[in-house]
Amino acid sequence: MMTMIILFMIASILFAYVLSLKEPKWGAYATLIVSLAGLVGVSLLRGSVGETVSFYYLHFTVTTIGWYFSMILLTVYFTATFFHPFWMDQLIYPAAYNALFLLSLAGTVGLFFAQDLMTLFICWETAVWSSMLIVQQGKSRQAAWVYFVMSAIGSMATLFAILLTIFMSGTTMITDAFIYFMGSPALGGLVFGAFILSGLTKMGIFPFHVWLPLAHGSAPHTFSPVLSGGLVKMGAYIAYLSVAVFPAYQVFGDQLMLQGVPLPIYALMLLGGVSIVYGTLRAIQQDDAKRLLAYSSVANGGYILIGILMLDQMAFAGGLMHVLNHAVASAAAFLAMAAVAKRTGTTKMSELGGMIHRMPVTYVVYLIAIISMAGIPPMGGFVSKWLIFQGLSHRGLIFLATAAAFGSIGSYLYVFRPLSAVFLGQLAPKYEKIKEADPLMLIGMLLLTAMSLLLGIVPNVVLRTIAQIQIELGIDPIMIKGTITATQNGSVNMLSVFTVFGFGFLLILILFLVLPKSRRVGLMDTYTSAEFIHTPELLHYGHHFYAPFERLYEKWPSVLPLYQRLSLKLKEMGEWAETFFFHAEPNRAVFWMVLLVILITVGGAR
Amino acid sequence: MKKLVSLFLILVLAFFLTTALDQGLDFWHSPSQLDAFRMSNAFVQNDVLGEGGALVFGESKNLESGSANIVTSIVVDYRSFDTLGEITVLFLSALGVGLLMGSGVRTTLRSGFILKTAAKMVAPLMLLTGIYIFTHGHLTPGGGFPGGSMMATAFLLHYFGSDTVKSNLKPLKWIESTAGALYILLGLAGLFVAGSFLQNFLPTGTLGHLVSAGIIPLVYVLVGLKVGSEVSGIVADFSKTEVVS
Amino acid sequence: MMGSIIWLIALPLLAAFVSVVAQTYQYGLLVVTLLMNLLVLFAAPQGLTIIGGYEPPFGISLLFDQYALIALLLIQVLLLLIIVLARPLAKNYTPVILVMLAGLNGMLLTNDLFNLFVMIEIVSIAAFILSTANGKLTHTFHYLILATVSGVFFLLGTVLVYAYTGILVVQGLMMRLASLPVALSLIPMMLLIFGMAVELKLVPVSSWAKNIYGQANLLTGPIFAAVLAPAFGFVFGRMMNEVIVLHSLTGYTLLVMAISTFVLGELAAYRQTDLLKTLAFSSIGQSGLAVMMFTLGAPWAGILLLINNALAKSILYGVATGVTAAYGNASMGVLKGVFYHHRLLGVAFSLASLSLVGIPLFLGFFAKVSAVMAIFSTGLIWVPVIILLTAIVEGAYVMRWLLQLWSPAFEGYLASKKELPQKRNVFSAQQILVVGVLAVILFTMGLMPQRFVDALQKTQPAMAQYEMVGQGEQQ
Repeated sequence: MMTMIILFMIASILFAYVLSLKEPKWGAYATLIVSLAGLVGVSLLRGSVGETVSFYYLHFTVTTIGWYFSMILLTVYFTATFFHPFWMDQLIYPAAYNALFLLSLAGTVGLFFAQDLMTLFICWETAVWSSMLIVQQGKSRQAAWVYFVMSAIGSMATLFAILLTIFMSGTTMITDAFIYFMGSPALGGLVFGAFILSGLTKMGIFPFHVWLPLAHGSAPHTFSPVLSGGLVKMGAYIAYLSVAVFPAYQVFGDQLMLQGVPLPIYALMLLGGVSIVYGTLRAIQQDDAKRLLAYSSVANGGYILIGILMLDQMAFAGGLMHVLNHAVASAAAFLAMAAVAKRTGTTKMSELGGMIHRMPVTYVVYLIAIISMAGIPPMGGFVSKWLIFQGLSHRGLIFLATAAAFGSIGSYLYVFRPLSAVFLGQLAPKYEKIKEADPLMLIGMLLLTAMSLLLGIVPNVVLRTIAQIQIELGIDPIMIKGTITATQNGSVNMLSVFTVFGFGFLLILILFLVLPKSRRVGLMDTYTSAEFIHTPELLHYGHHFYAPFERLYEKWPSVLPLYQRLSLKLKEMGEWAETFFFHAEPNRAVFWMVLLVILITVGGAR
Repeated sequence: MKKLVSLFLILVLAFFLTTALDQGLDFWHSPSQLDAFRMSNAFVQNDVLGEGGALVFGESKNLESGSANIVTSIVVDYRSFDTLGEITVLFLSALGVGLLMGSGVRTTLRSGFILKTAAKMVAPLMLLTGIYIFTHGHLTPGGGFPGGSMMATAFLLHYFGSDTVKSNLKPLKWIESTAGALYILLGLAGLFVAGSFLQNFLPTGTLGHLVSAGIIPLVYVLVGLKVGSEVSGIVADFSKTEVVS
Repeated sequence: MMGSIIWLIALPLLAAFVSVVAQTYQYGLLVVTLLMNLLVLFAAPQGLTIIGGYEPPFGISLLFDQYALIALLLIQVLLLLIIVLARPLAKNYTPVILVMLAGLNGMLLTNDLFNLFVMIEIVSIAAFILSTANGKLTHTFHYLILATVSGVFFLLGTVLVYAYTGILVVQGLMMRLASLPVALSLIPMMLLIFGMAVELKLVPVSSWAKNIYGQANLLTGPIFAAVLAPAFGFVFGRMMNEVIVLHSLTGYTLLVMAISTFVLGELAAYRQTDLLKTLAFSSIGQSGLAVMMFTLGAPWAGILLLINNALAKSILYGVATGVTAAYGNASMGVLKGVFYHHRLLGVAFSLASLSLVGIPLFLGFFAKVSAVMAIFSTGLIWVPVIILLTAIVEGAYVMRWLLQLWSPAFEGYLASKKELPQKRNVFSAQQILVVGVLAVILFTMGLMPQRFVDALQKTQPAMAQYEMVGQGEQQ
């Protein structure tokens, strides 16, 4: 089965490329069919945990966690492909887009099923460079470059850790190799820190988050959902590996403990907390909807990191589940924005407004997505955030719990902004004639919406898999019984929660239908009755939506300039080297040569 | 100041190098007082293959190298491959000069009466001496390189001494090419006849006779011709001027 | 007889001498010679070949082993493809290229230190002459001065080695030298190292490469970066393996030189806005990395790096000089988006640059991994850190170029066909085919790295006496 999937993937990449050369649209449909086939194929692997397959120098094995992550990624990739046929004409290299899209898909799936460390790294890097080449087809080359460089910082650190591990332990198997560091906390700490770095950069944890708004914001609209919903989750898998497979809690067992968490892990969790707060605050400020969602990914990455690093009954399960919830919600939100951008040509919130009148289904998709993202019941996001809270408060990690709470409340602020600025309010006159998104696009989006809802109603479907992962790791599994999800602190029955919310929704719907309709006031229907309005968008209430916040942020320091300064410093060093060591005049070189020989002769004679 | 520092550095380097050399090489004793097992003794005794026998001028026969001139037997027999390399270096230099200057315009020099007359008389003599030197390379000091250079000097003199030098240098090229090719073919003949490249496959005759030492005289004739024609070519090329960036 | 390895040197030399008078057939002669050389490579038995009938140490001999085979194969194949790629230019320099080929083969085969010097001189002079094809004689002159000085150093080193040991045979010379007192063997070792440092582009003496590589044309660029650079690398590897004894002083000096070459070269490349200059500094940096591997006693990693760099650079320089010549300038602004018009060249270029940086699925990755693994076994854990940090810088500038060359769009906008540069003719179909062949070779090698690395690890010559830094003194 595995072999078939791998061969199918390779063949389909070539096939999609050749087909796209002929006619880009066909290639786009090919990506849809291939990712669906991949989804079905991988879902069939559920029963064959433990099966291994070697392909050249790559070794794969089926694990429960790998299966879980692959399913998430494939879902996101699959739903994004519904948009492909409509975007081919915007791309300058459509054939390359389709082929690289499938290559990055293959890379990510390979990563989750990797049996040895080399395979892990090879798949990781393949996914990175192929997605980088996709991002460059969007609005910005700079963004693709920053994405690559930030990823390279992480992956080089991980490569160092991997090679050191292989060298020290003498084995490349992921499950065996890290055991070597049990007895050596210093070396183990080095490897742990270097290994997890690629996860941190990929998830956009605080000092490495700079690439997310750039890359998510300017990638092709069809690829932003995959970046945020899919590729960022590769980082979560690395985080999982470095805490669950790398025996981090045992290696750091004699370190300073903070509420039962060793200091190095606690430090990383704090970074996660910082990401939550920072991402939330920055997201509120953004005017571009995609950049806003990118910063929300930073914040959610923080939740996932904290959850996974806890490695306990509740928060760990919450973290893993949040990977899925955020993937689904974020992909849906990005896709909704892509649909809007397809019709209007922009994702800037200040230029939009009132889309609900023209694209109601897209509106619903976005609404459900942000409810899940903000962690409001009855959507999936609530369950996972609730579990993370449970875990944090059970351990008494007060700072992190505060950060998580802050992020939850802050997220209402930022997810509401696109809702009001893009979808609600009055419709700008130039958008009077636009239509709802194409049915094919709607199918993709509605699939994600349905998933968000289902995850909220019956989270135990997923939690069962997570419980099995926990059992395999030897930690207490999350308790599930029927529709009840239970922890040591309490339990929740999401079905009844949904029922309550459903009744509330029905009540309001009835009231809405029964009560007299409000009069629709157009954007141009203003007091400036006789004057001609040149800039109608300024009249929309979403314009300068959070003006006070924006003023507040004006003087805030940003992280990006630090990296720019570093780059400049490197260039200065290069210039110095060029003038000092690579000077064109040969007499300097001759001088050095003579001097060095003399010095060494003197040094040796001594 | 810069120059003083450079001078100082060069002097220091020279000091170290001479000291280092002094520790390795013995300049102060005659060969007979040196270690009998040194490798160079075998060269001096013309006895690398270990067949033994005393070395007597005019009498010893069928020696492995057969040249009365030790330097020659090293340069053209024991380490003949290096010589092939050296003529290649010269060949390359000539090529380089040709490529850089070859397309330029020839300048004509006005020469005086004395030079013209002297050139007519001296140049053939110099040519003859050159030929003598490289044909006797295996017997007397000298050989292909000095002989060839001498021939080139004759050419230079002739060049200065006549107003109308034919611009056709084709024969020079032909000599150069043929001599070089023949050297390699000679080497390959050694490969086919005796088993290794550049091996001395002809009988070496009696030590000190003109016809002796196997292929050594042949090689030296070829080297002489090649060097002579090449250096002449360089001289001819250098007389051209070209404006280069 | 017909299968003797000596043909590799005799044949090009013969062809060179003949080609001076047979100018119409020059180019054909060159191609035929290279093809014949490939035949000889496969027919010739491995082992020692004596020249002139005298066994070493008295005569000169050629050593043809697995190591030499790999190097020779790489060089014949690359040179053949390059002269086809740069046919119009190569025609003017055929005799020089033929002599250079003889010199390169001699350099890689010879088993005699003085003969090595002669061969290095031949190759260097040929390189001087070739570099005049760039049309910048000042740069050639600078190169000439540096290389000549280093040649003198090499010769002095050879003289001292002969003075101390009495032999010149390369094979096993290290054993004799190691038995000398440290103070004595230090000087010739340093002289030999500096004798090669100029051609290896090591840091204090690598300034020539900036201009020679940075102003290269379709002929000189690939030849310098993909033929001469690996050839000298291979020779250095042989020297490190058989001749040079490293003491802690020389060892650390060489290591520091190699590391600073790598780091400073890549840093200088990072700031360039000219494609050819970027590639020039990248070549300097990569050379430092390979030297580092040979210094640390990991020849197979060094070989892998050399092969990867040679193949990648042949493509990169071929394409870069081609588009530079067609579009008039190698600056980022001019070349922006050119690959839209030249897709196949673009794909080959991208493949080569990904391999150069050491991105997985390509040969460069396996080269980098074996390099880092080899260094771990020496215990110098901070060296891989430097290598990987520098690899980030390297990846950054290579990717920046890749993105710019592919996308004609202005920053902040989607790419549209309006901004495309005027299409110019870069390569003929035949030349594109050559670039394609190079790319396929590079890609296929990346597909079967394990078999490849295994084969390389077997190439350790009979005298496997690797000297780690600092261990030389104990002998």
